[in-house]
Amino acid sequence: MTAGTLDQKRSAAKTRFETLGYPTRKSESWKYVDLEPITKTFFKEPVRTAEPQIEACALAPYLFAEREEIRLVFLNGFYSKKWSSLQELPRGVVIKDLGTQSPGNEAGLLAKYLATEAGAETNAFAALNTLHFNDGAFCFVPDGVVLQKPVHFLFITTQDPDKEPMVYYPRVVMALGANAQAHAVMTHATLSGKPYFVDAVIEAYLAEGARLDFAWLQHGGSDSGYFLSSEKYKLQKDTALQIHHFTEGGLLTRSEIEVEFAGEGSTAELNGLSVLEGRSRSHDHLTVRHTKGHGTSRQFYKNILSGTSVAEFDSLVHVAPGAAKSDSRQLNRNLILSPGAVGHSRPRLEIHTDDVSCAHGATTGPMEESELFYLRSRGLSLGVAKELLVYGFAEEILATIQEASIRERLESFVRSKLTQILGQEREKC
Amino acid sequence: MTMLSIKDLHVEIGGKKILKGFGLEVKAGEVHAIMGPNGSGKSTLAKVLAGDSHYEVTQGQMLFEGKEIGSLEPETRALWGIFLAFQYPVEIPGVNNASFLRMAYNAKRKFLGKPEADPMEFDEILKEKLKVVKMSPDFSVRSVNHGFSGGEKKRNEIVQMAVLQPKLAILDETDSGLDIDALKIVAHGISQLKTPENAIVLITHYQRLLDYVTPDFVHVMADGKIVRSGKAALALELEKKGYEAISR
Repeated sequence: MTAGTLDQKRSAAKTRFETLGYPTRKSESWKYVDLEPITKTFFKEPVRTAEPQIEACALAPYLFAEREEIRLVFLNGFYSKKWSSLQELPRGVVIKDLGTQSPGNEAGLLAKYLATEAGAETNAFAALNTLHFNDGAFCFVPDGVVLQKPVHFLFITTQDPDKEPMVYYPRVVMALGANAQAHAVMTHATLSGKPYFVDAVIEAYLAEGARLDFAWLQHGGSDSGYFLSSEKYKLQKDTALQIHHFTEGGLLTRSEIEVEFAGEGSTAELNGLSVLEGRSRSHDHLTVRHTKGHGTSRQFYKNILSGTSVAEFDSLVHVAPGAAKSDSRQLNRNLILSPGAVGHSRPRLEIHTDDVSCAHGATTGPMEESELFYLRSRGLSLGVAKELLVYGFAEEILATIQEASIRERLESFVRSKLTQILGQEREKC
Repeated sequence: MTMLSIKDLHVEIGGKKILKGFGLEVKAGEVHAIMGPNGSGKSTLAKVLAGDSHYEVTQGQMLFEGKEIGSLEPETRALWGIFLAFQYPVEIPGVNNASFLRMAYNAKRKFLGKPEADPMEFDEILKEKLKVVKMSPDFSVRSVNHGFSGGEKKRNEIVQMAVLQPKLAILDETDSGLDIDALKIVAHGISQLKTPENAIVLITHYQRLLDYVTPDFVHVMADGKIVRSGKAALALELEKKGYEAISR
């Protein structure tokens, strides 16, 4: 992409940012989001200087070693060639960082997608990303190509040398040609105990018949991370999208996902799991637009809430006039492990056509006494029964992750996390 | 040897008296059937024995192998050898059936001071137990009762009984909601699990289960206590005359 093209996009984003302004709690989808810690903190953008020194063992917990992956590692938002592993790619596939200048043909390709339709910012923080991003990743899979190896965008926050709160703006652009297939993972992890702010934008374009599996795995760190993200997916005819969102740690997480069925006959599955403790807050705002008919969307979000954590599930399914045979499900379940935790749930529907099938449901509450009694009546102790039930609650989401290496790593992670949380809850009693 | 001895048991839930002076003696090797109309307290009895904390024992005693169990946690009673096959087994999505059964099996093994089974070993054990009620092996990869049909849930209870090999099994309306083929399978499973060392208490509405599992004793419950006891023939009499006539 030429500097001129990028400048144009940034300038448009600046205008949008100025028009939109920072969101306030008067706006429905920011009602429960306390932005003050972000707006009142001076977050410094790191500069691309010498690469931060990290140990290989710091990355190890986040790698999917069982299977070779195409890996792009970012340290404090900047691409690290040293830790990345690009592998040999099928012909025509482009997977690269956004920080280094691309050759002409690739630049043109990127310009075609970056901050276009799916990237059109609807909130100020997405506009800020376009305005400020220094780095990120571009993944292009041409028509008919099936990318076998998963692509892993691994973002690691390290201790800032100046020890100042840090902000960076990861940008990921994914474009899949007709009948192309890819599997991508974006992991966030921190090695720093300092506050840091990640303002991320992901845009994905799926041409006819394409299939994308995408996982967002966030290990936010205790009491330190702020994550605001916008994801947009534009689906042409007969495409299949599967999204997994896993959130753990971080002080504040707000994820906005918009999926648009721009062609008929597509399916989108959005699954989410948050495991929150302490003062963590996680806000999920989903919009699925059934612009064209014969589309199927499934949302299944679960939150496990301890301490005084708060989770919000705010989901809108919009069925446009004429989008007949649209089929949608929205389901949110919140498991409350301590009396101070709160789950907000707002599945909403806007239907402008007949002949659709739309269902939604939400539950919020503690563990079921009847389930605990059932397990205990088989000889399991109360502690083991609780662990089994809470893990089972999470497993229902984890089991939907197709890629075994990702699923198994998360399963073992969630298992130990839950054991730790239940141990803390027990001590409080 | 007396396995279970219940004397003058009074039980309430939310201030409502359900059991009002219930008594029962069960010896090893015996099969007892407890019959009675809805609301007579049959299911309450089952849950109280298993340790459901919603119920309050206000009077009387429950001795298992001579020891009072009233204040024991449900898991302790299970480890001692009491098993309840639930009338309405709960669905637990996300919890794998085989893992759950292995955990329960190993909890028991540990309690008995025996070595625990690893997943491979348990797989073999489970395979055999599934045959008791003709469950297909794929059932072990499913979540506990999740999406099971009514009949599958009841069969799963019998599989658990087969795995845990309790001394005292209380089957709470395990026959209800089963079609005749499923009933035969379940009844056959129960019969296979009957030994001279264990005891079975069948709680049922109808005679039909007793056509396949012959009880040594039949008790009729009404208004929270046993009003008549007899041999297997009593169940047939009940079937003909109805509870009303028998209870009078």
